[in-house]
Amino acid sequence: MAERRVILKIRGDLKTYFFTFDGVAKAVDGVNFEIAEGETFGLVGETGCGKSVTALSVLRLVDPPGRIVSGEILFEGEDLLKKKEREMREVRGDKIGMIFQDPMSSLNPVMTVGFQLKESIKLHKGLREKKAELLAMEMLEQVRIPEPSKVMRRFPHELSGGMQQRVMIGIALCCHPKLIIADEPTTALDVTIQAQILRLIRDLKHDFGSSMLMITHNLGLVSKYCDRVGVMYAGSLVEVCDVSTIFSEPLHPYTRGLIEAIPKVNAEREALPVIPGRIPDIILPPPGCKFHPRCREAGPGCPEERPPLRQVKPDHWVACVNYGGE
Amino acid sequence: MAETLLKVEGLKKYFPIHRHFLPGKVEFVKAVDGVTFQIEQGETLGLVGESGCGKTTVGKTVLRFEEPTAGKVVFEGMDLLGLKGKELRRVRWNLQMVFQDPFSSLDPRWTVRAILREPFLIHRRAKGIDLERKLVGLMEIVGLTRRHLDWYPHEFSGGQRQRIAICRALALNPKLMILDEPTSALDVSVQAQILNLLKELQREFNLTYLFISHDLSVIKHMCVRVAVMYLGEIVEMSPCRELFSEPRHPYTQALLSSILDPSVRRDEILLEGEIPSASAPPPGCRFHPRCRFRKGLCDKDKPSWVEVRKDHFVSCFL
Amino acid sequence: MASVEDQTERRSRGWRFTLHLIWKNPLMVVGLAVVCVLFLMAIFAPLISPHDPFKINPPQRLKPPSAAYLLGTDVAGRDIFSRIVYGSRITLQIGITVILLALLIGYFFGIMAGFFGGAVDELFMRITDIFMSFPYLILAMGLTVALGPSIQNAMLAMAIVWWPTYARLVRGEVLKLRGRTFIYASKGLGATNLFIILRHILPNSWMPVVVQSSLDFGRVIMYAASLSFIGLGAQPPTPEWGAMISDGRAFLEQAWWYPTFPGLAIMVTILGFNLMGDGLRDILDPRLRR
Repeated sequence: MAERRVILKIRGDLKTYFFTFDGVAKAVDGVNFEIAEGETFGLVGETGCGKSVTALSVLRLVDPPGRIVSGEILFEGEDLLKKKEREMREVRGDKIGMIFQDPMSSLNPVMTVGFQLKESIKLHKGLREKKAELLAMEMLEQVRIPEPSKVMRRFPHELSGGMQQRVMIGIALCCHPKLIIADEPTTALDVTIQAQILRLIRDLKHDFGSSMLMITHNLGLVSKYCDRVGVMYAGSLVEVCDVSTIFSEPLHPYTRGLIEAIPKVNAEREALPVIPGRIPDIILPPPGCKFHPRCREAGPGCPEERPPLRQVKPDHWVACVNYGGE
Repeated sequence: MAETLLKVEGLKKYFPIHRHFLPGKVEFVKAVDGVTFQIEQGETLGLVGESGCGKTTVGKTVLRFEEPTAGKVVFEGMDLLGLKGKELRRVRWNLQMVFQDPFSSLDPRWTVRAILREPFLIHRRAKGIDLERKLVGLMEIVGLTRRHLDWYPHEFSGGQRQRIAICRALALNPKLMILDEPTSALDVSVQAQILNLLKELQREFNLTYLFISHDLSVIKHMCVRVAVMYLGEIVEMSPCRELFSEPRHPYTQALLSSILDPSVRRDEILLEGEIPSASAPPPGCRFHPRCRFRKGLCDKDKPSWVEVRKDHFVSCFL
Repeated sequence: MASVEDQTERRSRGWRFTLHLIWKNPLMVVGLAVVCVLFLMAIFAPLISPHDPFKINPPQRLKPPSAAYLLGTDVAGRDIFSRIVYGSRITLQIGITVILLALLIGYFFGIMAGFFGGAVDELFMRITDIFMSFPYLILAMGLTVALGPSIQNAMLAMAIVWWPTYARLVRGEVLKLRGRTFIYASKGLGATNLFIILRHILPNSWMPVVVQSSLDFGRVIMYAASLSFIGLGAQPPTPEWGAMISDGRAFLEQAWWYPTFPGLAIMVTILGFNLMGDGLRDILDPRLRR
């Protein structure tokens, strides 16, 4: 069994806290995982679970009042948290590319598409105008935009949502990064366009041999496009395993609840099974296991201590006393 | 045989694109271009499609938030489009809408109590103490408490705000509820709660729903009949189960194949191209540029509305 | 029935948070302080001023600042300090009247244009444009001359000149609100347009207007002072600060305190309102809205 190189390794309990007027919001509260070369890791969870903040932490784009309080983020062996800002700028866009959710707000509305593409290319590759122009056009072709020379001169608002997202992808991937972070890349798009874009991302990733951290709330997306998945709840990882396992043998009660709550095309039920209660407040989370107030299988020990993520099987980790296995 | 509660015929809504100083032809965005359907008492009709297909506009036009350019809307035998001012306002409580965005459908400066009192206030059915009890009753139906009446919308989560919106819509016992993507902005677990609530309410109060959504799995769960819209027209309409097991229109097939459902192992049909603009729809069958079964006559004539099976209609040359 | 857990009640974000924001903004505190002092001065004028601002006292004319006359005396022997204190009443009166009037007219136009749109919008906005195309001061001057120089006419003239800004501002807010679904919801419940305007639009549109008013206060005072300076506004012996500067101008060399202190009063007041307005803008805007 060939050991694949680990591209991204988050360890030492990554914690990103926001120090607000109302208290300390523990957006990311002890997260550890790794992504191997060429792999797509899906980070799944609902609103407020901390998945986007995790991605921002990797790129060190967390704005005050947020701050990374502890942990190590090893990218190709180097700890990103120890780098200077100047060095991080070289990493962003070049070695790690990020695709955001809403292309309309991520693209500069007053600059043409071509300008923005070339800007990124010139910055990271040090190429001059002519060569950058060529590379930019090539990139637009790779993201399957028709008539690239025309599109280069267009402004973002003149393009449709799908096209804008392709441009975003072009900008993010023009330097063939080793790691692609995609934060809900298709949530704002129509369903039929979504399929196109996801296919595109998958193909490009394959062509460039990159790894991907895919952040989404959509389990269905994960099932089709990810290799491994990590489920987050209220700032912590509750389950990590590969994709087929998560649907065939989910262990953590939250994971199971989440899967059951999705209306399925093949099943017909009168009422959807529901996880009672609401997502906890990250400033004052429940004591012990954060999920226990809503958990059908909660036991007396659950409010006492927060269960760590423990390996239950080869490549299956769960944070629950009931499935800890010793 | 249940009676028809709402009948919509040939509904059209065109939005003019203003060009101030250019004389001559004004262009239109044909958001809704000839939509016909009916809903029986107590049933749920789903309206499905992507953005720009006109489904939200259909909802808005039926309720006359926008004035239709053409067509007929008959509610309980009454011609809705013929009503004017006061008459219309007096009937409005019967057809309520729950909107997509829970963050903007409640006035941020009003307390929940004020929000729920509004329908009573408008129709002058507020009667002091009686009202307070009614309000608390309404809140409890959707799972909130008396305490919440004094709070402001921003103190609630998205799911709770939707409950308040549903509460408000229910206040005067409407017959028809138009639900415009009520759970699209919510998390999966919250969505499940709200969908269950909606189903319970339908049973308890004998409500009729027009359920608008882009999410096919939600539609499957909620609806009895479904209509698929593309670029302002209904391209297929059938009982829900049948739409999923035997979709006839190529667009419906593509839509179904793009559902990201973990339990489904379906081959993806990738549609080429972008959704065209509603101001310049393709000639003939509007779907033909992206259709993989495209034939010669698809760009010349419009396919007619054909009943391919009992109660299953399609608009396609196949 | 799906049960909903009780929420942990967040610390009341209302008052405490506002105070916290104000505190974080020291300049705003300064502005607020100035405005408060001004109001207090106006309210307690009789108690604060040591002398009668109108009493003419020729033997004491043009005396420099001293213990008896804190800021000196003017050409008629009146105590400048007392006149400044009483002048604050006039200043406030002018500012509030003009802005209130301008708001009334501007709000009406703005709501009509924004809410009803179409031809009504065009009509109201063209009228607004016409008024806006005149330079403020010249129009105000012209109107005051036409109506006859007096404080009341100056206030009227300024209000007429001022309302277009508010009309535009309100129209913008109304347009933003019109698309919000709670307006549709209200309509869907059968509300009349008047109901929606009064109960939904007004309460949601006043915030930027308040900010603008606060920032405008300073400018209104400045214009009023300018009008008085050229003799079109306050007439003697009213202790209006602009008029006082005008009176004292001729005596700048021999009695520097005469025009200087009223001038300082104007400057500090305007600064105070501007700082407060800036601070208000920060507080009222996105932060309080989650």
